[in-house]
Amino acid sequence: MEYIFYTLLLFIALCFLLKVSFYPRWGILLVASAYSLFTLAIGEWATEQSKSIVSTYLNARSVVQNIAILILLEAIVLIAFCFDSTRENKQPATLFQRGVFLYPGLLFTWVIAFSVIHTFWNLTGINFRVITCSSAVIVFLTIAGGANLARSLIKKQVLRLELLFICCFCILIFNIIFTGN
Amino acid sequence: MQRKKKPDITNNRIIFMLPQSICSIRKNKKLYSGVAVFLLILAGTYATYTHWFSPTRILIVNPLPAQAADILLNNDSRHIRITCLPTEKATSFKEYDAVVFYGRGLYLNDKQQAAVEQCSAKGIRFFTNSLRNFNVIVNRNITAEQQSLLLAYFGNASRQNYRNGVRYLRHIATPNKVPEESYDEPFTLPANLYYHQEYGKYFPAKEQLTAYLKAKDIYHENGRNIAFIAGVSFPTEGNRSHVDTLISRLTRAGFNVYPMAGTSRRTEMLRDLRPDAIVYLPMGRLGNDSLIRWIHTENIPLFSPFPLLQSTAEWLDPMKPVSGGTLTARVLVPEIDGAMAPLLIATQNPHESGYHLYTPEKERINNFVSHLQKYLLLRDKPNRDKRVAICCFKSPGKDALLASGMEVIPSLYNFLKRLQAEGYDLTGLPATVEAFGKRIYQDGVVPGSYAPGAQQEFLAKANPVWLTRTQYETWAGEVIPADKYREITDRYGPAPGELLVRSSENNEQQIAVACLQFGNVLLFPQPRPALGDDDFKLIHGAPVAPPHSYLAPYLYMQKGFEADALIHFGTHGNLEYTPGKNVALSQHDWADALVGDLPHFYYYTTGNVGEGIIAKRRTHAVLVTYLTPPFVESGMRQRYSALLDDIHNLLQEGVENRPSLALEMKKEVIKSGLHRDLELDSVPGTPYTAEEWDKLDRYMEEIANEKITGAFYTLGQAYSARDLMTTTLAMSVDELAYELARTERDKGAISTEQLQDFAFVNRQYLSEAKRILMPVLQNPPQDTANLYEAVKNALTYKNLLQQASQNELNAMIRGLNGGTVFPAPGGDPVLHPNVLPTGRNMFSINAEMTPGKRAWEEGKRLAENTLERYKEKHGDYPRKAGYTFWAGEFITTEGATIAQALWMLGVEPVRDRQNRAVDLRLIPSEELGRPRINIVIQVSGQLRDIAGSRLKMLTEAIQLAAAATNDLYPNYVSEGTLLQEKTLVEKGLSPKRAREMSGLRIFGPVNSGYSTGMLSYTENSGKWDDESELVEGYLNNMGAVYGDDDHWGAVEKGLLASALDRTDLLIQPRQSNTWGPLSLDHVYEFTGGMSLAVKTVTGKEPDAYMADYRNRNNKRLQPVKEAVAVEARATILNPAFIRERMKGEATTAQMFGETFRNIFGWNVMRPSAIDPELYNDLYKCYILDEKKLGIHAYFDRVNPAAWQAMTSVLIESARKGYWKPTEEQLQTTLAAHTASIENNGAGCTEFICDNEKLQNYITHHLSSGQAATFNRNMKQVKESRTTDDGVVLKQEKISPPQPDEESKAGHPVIPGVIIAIVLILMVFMVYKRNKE
Repeated sequence: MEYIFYTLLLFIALCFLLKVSFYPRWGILLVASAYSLFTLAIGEWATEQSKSIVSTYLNARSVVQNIAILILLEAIVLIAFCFDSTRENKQPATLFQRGVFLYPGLLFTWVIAFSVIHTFWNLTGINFRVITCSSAVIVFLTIAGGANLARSLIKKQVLRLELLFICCFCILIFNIIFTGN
Repeated sequence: MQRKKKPDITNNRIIFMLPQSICSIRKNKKLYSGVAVFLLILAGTYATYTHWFSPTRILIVNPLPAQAADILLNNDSRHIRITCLPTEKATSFKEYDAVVFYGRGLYLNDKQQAAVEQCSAKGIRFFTNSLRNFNVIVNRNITAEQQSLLLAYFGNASRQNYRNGVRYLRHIATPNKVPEESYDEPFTLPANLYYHQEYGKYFPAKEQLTAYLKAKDIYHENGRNIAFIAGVSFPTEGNRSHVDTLISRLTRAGFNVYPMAGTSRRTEMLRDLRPDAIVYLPMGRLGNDSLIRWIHTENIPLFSPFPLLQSTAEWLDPMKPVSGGTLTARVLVPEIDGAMAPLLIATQNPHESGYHLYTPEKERINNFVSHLQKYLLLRDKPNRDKRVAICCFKSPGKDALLASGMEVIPSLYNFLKRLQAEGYDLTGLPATVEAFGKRIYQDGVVPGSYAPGAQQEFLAKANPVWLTRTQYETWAGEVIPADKYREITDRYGPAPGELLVRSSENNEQQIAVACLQFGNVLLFPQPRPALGDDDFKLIHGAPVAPPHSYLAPYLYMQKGFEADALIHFGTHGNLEYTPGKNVALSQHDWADALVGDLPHFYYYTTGNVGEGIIAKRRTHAVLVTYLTPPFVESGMRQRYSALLDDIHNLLQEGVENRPSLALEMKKEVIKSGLHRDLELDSVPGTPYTAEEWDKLDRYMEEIANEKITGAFYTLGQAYSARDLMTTTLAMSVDELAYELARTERDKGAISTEQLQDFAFVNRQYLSEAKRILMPVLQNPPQDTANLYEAVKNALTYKNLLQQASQNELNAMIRGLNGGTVFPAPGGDPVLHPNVLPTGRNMFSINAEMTPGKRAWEEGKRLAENTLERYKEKHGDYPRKAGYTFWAGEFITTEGATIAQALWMLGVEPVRDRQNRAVDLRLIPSEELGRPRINIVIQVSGQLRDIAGSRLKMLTEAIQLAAAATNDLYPNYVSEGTLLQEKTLVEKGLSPKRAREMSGLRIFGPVNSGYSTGMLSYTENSGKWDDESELVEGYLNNMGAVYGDDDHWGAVEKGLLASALDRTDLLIQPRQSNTWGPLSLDHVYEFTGGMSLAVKTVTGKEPDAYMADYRNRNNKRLQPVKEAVAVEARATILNPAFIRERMKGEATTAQMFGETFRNIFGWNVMRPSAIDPELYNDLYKCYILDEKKLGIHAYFDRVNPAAWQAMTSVLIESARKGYWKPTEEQLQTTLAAHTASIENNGAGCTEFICDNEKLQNYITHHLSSGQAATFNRNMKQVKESRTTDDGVVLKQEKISPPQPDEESKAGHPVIPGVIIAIVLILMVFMVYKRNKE
């Protein structure tokens, strides 16, 4: 169960990086900064999360169902982006289309939260503020670096879109398994 | 054909709504200029405002909250802004224009002092309000004249002075500010005056006040005069509603109240007034020793109720104890003056203005006034009309009445006879003590809930008082608050409960109160404070409400019998250990509610000051100390003298030179079993080395010198001439031996090392000291000028011992006449002769001054010894040391064990000018010269109550040591903290909580309780099968942390276990000659409990030592096993000791049973402490009576229940496998056990009657006839058990934690395969597209 959850988070992160890679460079930096600030903001909260609390959440049926729905919605949005990006129609994008393009993938915040919490669990004795700030820096570098790396490795957008689509598909599969368990 | 270009969305620009104005800003220079000018104007306005118009900011540091409120509320200028802060929060002064320090108790650390100097360099004014030259004084940037004026304002506390004082400060600190606030000259209070409720009215002499009271028509011609002292400068302070309320209530109660204030003439004013009583709201001592001696000589009782610096909610919260300076000044110090009634009268609560003001607690004030009335009424009421209730303590079943070191029945009888001689009505008192004892055993029974048969027998034969349910509930409603009463009914059902109840003829339920009444004197045994499942979780406190059967006698005593005074007889009961606040109890605390407002006296052994103080503070008892049993010759020196002489000769001549003698001597040693105690080999052909002989020599010297006590003391009966001699010798012989040795050392005849070698001093000087002392004590000379100091002291001790027994009775009579009881310290008289004469009211020590300077040095030395010993044995330093802190040891050694703990950490206390330990210094690693050793501490509830501030200091020390960096040696404190944090996270705590808790390593009983609960767990051995089951009980009961205010009393699952991890050794303090590890159950309870827990957690049993403070000249460490062996040889296996004890009666005999139970306890908790041969030795000594001491006949005569307890222990030990008797041994023991039950009935203590498995084991090993007889005898006391479902004991089996279910889903292989497939697909796609 835990491993499925970790894999799910991995794919969410991958999707996020692929999605963000479609932004202009300054957009990538903006997103990275925002998520970095988010990391700083949740530092205090993360120190108050214990293994028993997290385990309780992951074993609570209602919580898992809610998670599944949110993951599904995100996957749908990203898949919609994939299809939308391949249109040849040059008419101005609708609000929905703009939204789909702008939407970076909010579930990545869960990935950050989960990672930060685990970091606190494993790095005993280190100042919490140091951990929080370091995590924020790592988040920034990961997003900025990861998205740019994706752009440079997979220059063709179509390929990136295909990859994004496959990742979303994997998310859906793992989501089903996760919810089922 | 052209390929359609796919839309390149990377170039899509996201169009944002950028504000147009930003693009054009650069073109708008006018706007820039405008903004700049605006900013300049703003800055200029701000500067002008700050310089001329802003309020003057004044900081007041270290005021009492009430003072702060007074100052703030009397500031009527909106141009003055006042902030009040406690010292520890005043870290920065630069935001202020002037700072006022209140000097009392002020301490500034280095950072604060640096901040003061920095800010004073910038011109900020600093002023300290203090007249005493021992406080910290900081005055900067003020002239002498200004200082003098400020002292006049703030030193003469009054509304006008506060108002004008802050205005004056504004004038001198910020003279440029406008508008100028005018101020009046300071109003100087008369130095010494009388006052009353009317503000501003002062009287220079008592006559003027008397005239004023008459004019106001509130003077009572026949009323008693009360001197009332509320504080040094009290009357003019604004915050005085509690004082006014108390004056008013006392006046309405018929007293003439003379409130007085002043410093220089207080003594004179008191002597002039010569009041009937003094009510002093304490802040330090009332006066000097001369004044205190005078008030006691004049028999003027001193009462010290006090206001508390806590809100009402905090006061009612037992997890917010009174500690630190408040405890010292308000409670402890008045005890030194012999003050009584430490009752709360006011709290401090936030006013609507946000500041704290005193709130009179009306119920408490009424309670105090009523108490005072009743106390003084004892002066007027004729003795024949006085109604006295006496509560004594009794073991359940047929076992003896209990009081530490006191033979209760004859003591009680002597006391009643004395009352009779004083004119008290004791109609019906039996003519002989034997008849009196029979009445007690008939009517004063405490049946256990596990023995319904015994209950029925009691109800059939005794003459209890029957209370109807209606009566009981009415009284309960008057005495107990409704929510507290509900706790009882929730737990035990509606009144009158299940124990000792019946239905009357008209079907009303009634509850029996076991008691005896002789005229106007009521005698009742204190019942069990819990029943059923909780029954065995007692005696030192249960975190549960007591049952109806516990309340009934106290309610009857208050409301039915209408006692004028209450006495608790002997050490000790359990009322003071019912849950609640440590001091300043409320009506919501059982101890306070059940004693009520009665004058309360408590006969308490002088040897137990730690627990006595708790009784004093929680039940507002006036303690009257009684003597310990006399110290007697153990006879061990004679027994070992030949062997000791041989060892000395052997060591002098050299072991290798006398091989045959060495082997002969070794055979002797093996025969006596001494080698086992020291873990030496028993190979007869190999001689011991010189070091081993030296070890044996010291060990035997210790046994020979061990101080033992004889038969229990009887109140009202002085020591016999022989006991007087032996006790005086015990008190003085060591002192003289060391004095002789010091004289020799000063002459150069011996070295300092030899002086510090106790075995050497004993061997060389002890006999000489005895030889000098004995003739002097037998025939005291007239001229003592040329005697050794120690000999003069010995003569004094002898006189004081002779006076003691009369003094004890006289003091109680005096108290019952509404008089005073002289104050005195408490402790073991051998170690602290100043506790003599007894018959006095014990006091404690000032915790803030601990560890004392001498205690610090001793503690350091002992800690270093501990580390040396451990390193010698194991080759490395210990990682963690576990300490047990007890109140008695803390008081008598002034915190020497705290000193040990601090030194282990590498932290030392920093003292202020008053010698209080107020701060800590981390000793640098290079200075310490070794690793910092981690510590974990368990405390008794008693110590927690009296030394809370020391526990906080220790926690800070742990945190300081853990944070140390760049140490040259390993820092086990830091390592341990990290490991603990990690463990706690693994156990499910959040990282934040884990970090907070990982620095807390001081644990104590949960729910403000007082004990580990392990005694009852252990001795209810039928309810557990494996010792590890007890560990969970220990970890639960002792899992509360007491380290800082935020977590005081908090319980976190897994915390104690994580704190015990890596504990390599344990230290148990021992500071009294009146008990040892076998004779006192708490030793195995605490040290044994911790040892078992550590072994369970770590898999390894830690080393265990006793920190032995009993010899003033030789404080040392001793392995627990050795200490147990010394005590066993000197007492329980020593015919001389047994003969002495057999001179006592039932209570003395009960001690044997207790010692046997303690041996059992050690076997459960720490088997390595007990020599396996001990059981065989006990069998030979007691069951076979090899020495023909007449043991069987003795127990048969005085206390068969004790004998049955002893035999039960042996049989249970066999059942558990601790003792492996032969069949013959077992049968003989069984025969002794069953014969006693057959002849005397089952004694029915828990060990005898409350262990089904033991009873089955017994019957299994008896013949069928014997088994039938045994079962019949047991049934008599246990019949109707199955029909009475209210008191069926449930077996409390502690189940081991269930392992977590492993998640079956989510095996790592499946997602891994899926990821691999996806990655392969992605790579393939990338490759394919690239190729295209």
